[in-house]
Parts: sequence; C-alpha cells; structure tokens
Amino acid sequence: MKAVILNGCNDDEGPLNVGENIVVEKLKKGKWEVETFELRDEKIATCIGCFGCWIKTPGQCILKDQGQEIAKAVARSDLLILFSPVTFGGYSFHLKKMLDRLIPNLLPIFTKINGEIHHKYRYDKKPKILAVGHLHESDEESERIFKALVSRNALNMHSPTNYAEVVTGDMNRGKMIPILENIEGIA
Amino acid sequence: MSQPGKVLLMVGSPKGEKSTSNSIASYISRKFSENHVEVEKTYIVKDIRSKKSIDRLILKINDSDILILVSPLYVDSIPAIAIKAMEKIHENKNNSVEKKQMMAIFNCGFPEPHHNDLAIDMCKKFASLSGIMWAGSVTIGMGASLEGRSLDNFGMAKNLRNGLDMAVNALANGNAVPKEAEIISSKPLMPISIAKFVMCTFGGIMWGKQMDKQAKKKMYDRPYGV
Repeated sequence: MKAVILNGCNDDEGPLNVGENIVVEKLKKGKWEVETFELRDEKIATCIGCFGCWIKTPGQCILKDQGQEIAKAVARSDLLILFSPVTFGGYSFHLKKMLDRLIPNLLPIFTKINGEIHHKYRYDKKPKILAVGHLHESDEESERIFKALVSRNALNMHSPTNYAEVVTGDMNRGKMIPILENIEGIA
Repeated sequence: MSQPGKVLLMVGSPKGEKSTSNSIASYISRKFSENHVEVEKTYIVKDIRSKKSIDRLILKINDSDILILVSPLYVDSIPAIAIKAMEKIHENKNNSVEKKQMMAIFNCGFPEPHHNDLAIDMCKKFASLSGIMWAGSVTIGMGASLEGRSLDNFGMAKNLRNGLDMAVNALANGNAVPKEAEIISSKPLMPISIAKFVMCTFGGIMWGKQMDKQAKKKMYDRPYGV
C-alpha cells in the first residue's frame, strides 16, 4: 500500500512537522510505502488554468516540473495525507499550489454525486484523504471551514474515505500521538 | 458610511485579462466609474511575481477603501495565487485596513453556484482576521460560459448584471451589498436541471470540440497507469 504525504508548512518546525514524523513512523510500521513531499522546498509552478491537462495532453499537466511528478504519485497512492497551517480556514499557499495541480487526475467530463455536478475521476484507484491542520489559537469557524474543505475535496476526488483533524497551539510529540490515533485507524 | 474614495478590483484568475473573472471585473469597473467612484483593476497573477510587485499591491490596497476579489474557484477553494496574495496582505496589515471593506465574487464551472460557498467563507475569515469589514459576496455557476465575453452582450447574464448593478450602487453610496443583490446576482445562468442534463449528456462533446484529433483519442488516457 502506498501513502503520499503533502506537507504545506511554511517552515520545518512546529507541530505539523512533529505530526508528520509520527504518521510516517506509524505507516512504516504497518508496512506502508511512504513518499513525502515538503512542498515549500519543491519546484512547483502554480496552475495557469489552461486546461491543457484535459485538452492537449490528457492526464498530464503541460508544466514540466515537480508538480507533475507529485500528481503521478497521488494517482498511484492508496492514501493521501495533507498537512497545512489552517490559512483563513483553508490550506496554505504551498499546499494549495499542489492541489490545484492535481486536476489532470480528473476527467473533463461530468457526473452527478448526491445530485451535484462533479468531474469524473480518471483512474480506478482513488486515494483516501486524511488532513491535519494547525491553528495557533482555537477558532471554531476556521476549523469548520477546514474540515468542510477536506470533505469537498474528497468528494471531487471520489475518495472512498476522508478524515480531517485540526490541532491548536503548541503541540509536542506526547500531545500529538493520541490525536493522530484516529488517522492510523482510517489508514 | 461615506462614499468610498477608491475601489481596488483584484482579479484572482491565473488567466488574468483573458478570464471570466476579468469580464466580471471590467463590468463592475465601468459601473463604479458611472457612479463617479475611482476604481483600479489589478491582476494578482502579476502582483505576486516578485517582492517588488507584492509591495506595489500592498500600496494599492493601503490606498483603497473597498477591495473586491473577483476570482474563479479552483479545487473547491481560492486559487493558490490569490491565497499567496492574501497571506502577504495579512502579513502586512496595518491600522489603515480598519476602515476598509471587502467583497468577494467567485465563479465556478459547475452549474450550482453553491460550490463557491467555502471560498467565500475563507474570504470572510481573511477579512475578519485582517480587520477588514465584510461587504458581501456573489457566487456564480457556469462561469466558463462567460469567458472572453462582455457581460453586456450576454443574455444569460441578465440577473448577474442586475445584481451587480445593485451591489455597486450600494457600495458607491457607502453601504454594504444588500442581501437582495447577492441573491439576484447568484441566480443560476440557466435552470439548474437543464444545465445538469446538458453537462452530463454532452460534456464529452463540448470538451472534444476544444481538442485536436490526437488529443481527442487520448481524452480518457491514464498516463500514470492505474
């Protein structure tokens, strides 16, 4: 089983990086193959909205950079794990620039899900999605938006399961482990 | 509230001038001018290219009373380039933002305007965290059908035009966007049930028209093999 971790943190410190280490350890113990991308360090252009990945080179972004490689890794994964500072309720720029580049993994054509229009997924294999956000201070509205966003993303990616958790304030390893127990269950 | 001195229209589409967002922003810009309100349009895709251009964007924001983000929906949310701009604006917030107002207008390719709701919630949260007053929002479905067109010549955009006119009139007179304007401008461009039927039945043909022969054969390809 393959897991891909997209870390959208702005630096290599802080609770989410602690959380990432814990998740990697747990998954490796469970014999998962884990591929991790620290997005702030990756060369990933922002999506230019050209739809070239649907109408010129179906399934592949026309921008030849690490974004294409990560989209490939996600297409082949069973589990996609997102780490991000909760930014106005959503994802950080670093994570969002990569998520915008995942549309090659969708088809341009449409289907209905729960009566709503969505794009069809290009592949049979659809990853489960787990997301962990971090807030410096508790903020119910930001937390609500973050969890709703993960759920909407899962719908659009036809993900079989999704789970989101938001951690608040300073978090050390001891505090983080019980929070991430649920994630192990979903995986 | 008094009449605003200046409005800054921020186009959040990576496609810049060629985008649906710009068609909408151009319409709004003209309406503010007709109301004798100074208006400037800026393209975020250019604004975030360098530290210098970000600094220029911050100055434009400091110099404006009303900020209007006009943007497409990308993956259920705000496009990455607009998030970057918002992160930078938030980092550079100062006391001058307190008297500013913000409005957000999102358009998505799906027929249901409510796909845009979370992006609007994020903009509200951004405004609240940055000390900017929230002025209102508009959500638009089937935005791609407006691309490259002037709103004036597009029959299906009648409700959108009427709602935007009301919104601009309110903002130009120092008021928040009336709920009625939000509702009228967010009405679907065509009946939702018809739009869903057309998109699900003829979506492949519609996309196929934009593809050359070679690409059309590969529309359903799985280059990553699973």
